[in-house]
Amino acid sequence: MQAGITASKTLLQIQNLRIVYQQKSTFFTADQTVHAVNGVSFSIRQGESFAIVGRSGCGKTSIAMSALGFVKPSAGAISFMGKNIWQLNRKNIRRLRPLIQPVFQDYGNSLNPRMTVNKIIIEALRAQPNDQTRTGNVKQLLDTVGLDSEIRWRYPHQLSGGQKQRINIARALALNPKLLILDEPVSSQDLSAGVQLIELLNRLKQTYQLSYLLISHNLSIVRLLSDRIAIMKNGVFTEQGPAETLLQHPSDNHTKELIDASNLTNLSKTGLV
Amino acid sequence: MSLLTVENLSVVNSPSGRSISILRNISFSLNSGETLAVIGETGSGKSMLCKSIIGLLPPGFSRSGNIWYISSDNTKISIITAEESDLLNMRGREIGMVFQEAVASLNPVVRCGNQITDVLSVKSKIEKNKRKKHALKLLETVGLSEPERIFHAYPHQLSGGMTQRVALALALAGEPQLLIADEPSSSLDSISKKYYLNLLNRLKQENNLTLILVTHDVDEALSFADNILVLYAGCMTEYGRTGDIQKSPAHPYTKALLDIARALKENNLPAAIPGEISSLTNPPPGCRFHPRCPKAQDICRVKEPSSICISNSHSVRCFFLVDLS
Repeated sequence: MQAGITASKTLLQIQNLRIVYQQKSTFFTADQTVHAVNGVSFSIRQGESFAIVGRSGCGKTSIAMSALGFVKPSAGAISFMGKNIWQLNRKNIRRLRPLIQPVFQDYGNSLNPRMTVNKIIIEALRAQPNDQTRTGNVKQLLDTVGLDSEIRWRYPHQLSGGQKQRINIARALALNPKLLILDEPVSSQDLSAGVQLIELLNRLKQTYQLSYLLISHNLSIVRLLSDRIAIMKNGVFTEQGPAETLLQHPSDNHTKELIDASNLTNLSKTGLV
Repeated sequence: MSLLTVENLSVVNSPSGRSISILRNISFSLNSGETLAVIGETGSGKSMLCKSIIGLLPPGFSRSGNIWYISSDNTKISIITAEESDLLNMRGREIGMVFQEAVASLNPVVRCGNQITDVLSVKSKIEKNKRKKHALKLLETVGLSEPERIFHAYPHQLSGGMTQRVALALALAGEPQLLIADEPSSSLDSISKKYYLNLLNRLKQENNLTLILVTHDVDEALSFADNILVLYAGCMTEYGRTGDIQKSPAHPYTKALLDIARALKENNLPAAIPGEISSLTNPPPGCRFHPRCPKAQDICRVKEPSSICISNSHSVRCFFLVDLS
């Protein structure tokens, strides 16, 4: 971890978070209770990147949805800049919301196919005073994410995967957030486009002192983008610590299993291992 | 003898009078029991190549060239000129396919087991009263530990990894010789992905399957395939044995992909290939990779490179090969 990050103030603090989903009975099934997150605690400082790594269905996205204010926790506290976001009134939540912005995994479906890039970003800039400022901001935002300003007249289907994800990042940056929640931002990208996005995210973090909550199952991506990592399994953190230390000297079996699975050179020729 | 031989395959889409070249002069052959990995960026034509082989191109797309296939009764069939009824007969029995989005390829309102028995009723000679038993065996073969539960489950009740394995069981139901897997592991987490690849390896050996694996994960192709075909914007840039391509990639695009994969494996942030993949609707003249190529010269901007054979099993399309020494 960089020295500056250690000294900086805590931005997001999650304490003993529990998220339980109640599934109502249907004609075929009985009532079900799913404990998606089961007592998770961590904090993210300003300018720090914190990654949650785990298999599909382990509860990573539930934590992100709760921090964004979309899923109400069953227990525990989520504080952003010292304020418990689930105890704020509507007006204060509206003030806080621009500061936490998501970048979703499904970069294609998170852009409205009937809007041009310009309109997509202006939607996020609605709080700005007038159209002139908005147009200026769109150009500036596109430049920030390394896209030509002419791209703003295109529709999402006219863009490549990498360009779409950059538009998602530009839209997330539109309201000057302090924390970006990145849900598998690179995993469905091509190799080269993925590398370009990692470079971009690292540059934005440095330039704007952004903090990231990164959700991924790809350890090589996480290693390049995060300062600290938590490994998650069945709704709980099994291990957490500084990225390099945790990946070089894992102590938990699940961490070792994930590291081993990311190495495909030892594929079994004979069976299921 | 080669099970599948593709000769100068080109695919053209002609929407409203325009002609868009989706694939250009693709040639390769695949021996029985071998695995071919098709790698390239999104929009390079990987899925279109698979759909051409199985004869499932969307309306408005036309093929030229030849695709020869040796069927299980040793008949040489031209897939391009075959009647639709013959192709219908071949699909599932001779050539199986696992589609990119497993969930979308399964019927959401039919139980998984019934989807398999439906395939068995059409594509195999198994008697009606033995189909369920065979479907359960297939589910077990693809590594599902509770076949009876999965048999009665709907696709939405299963995890991504399980759905992907049900789709594999469906593709295997007709006992095909050739299996085409279009990015089967791209949506899986690393543990499920490794499990799935190990499973494919085992099935390949047990059933002497020939496999075409489409992927954009270079590491997956290097660890899994016998041969690699590299596509870029619909053009074949390099084709050869995995060992040859790994040791001495001849095309600058292949080398760039391998360098990125290697750097990521060594936990370094590699240099990305500058720019974006060329659009198929408005491709650059000459070599389609030249706007991003570090070795591009004037000839690359005007003339399309022809195929150069480096060895019997290694060919490349480039005017300025990477230094092979």
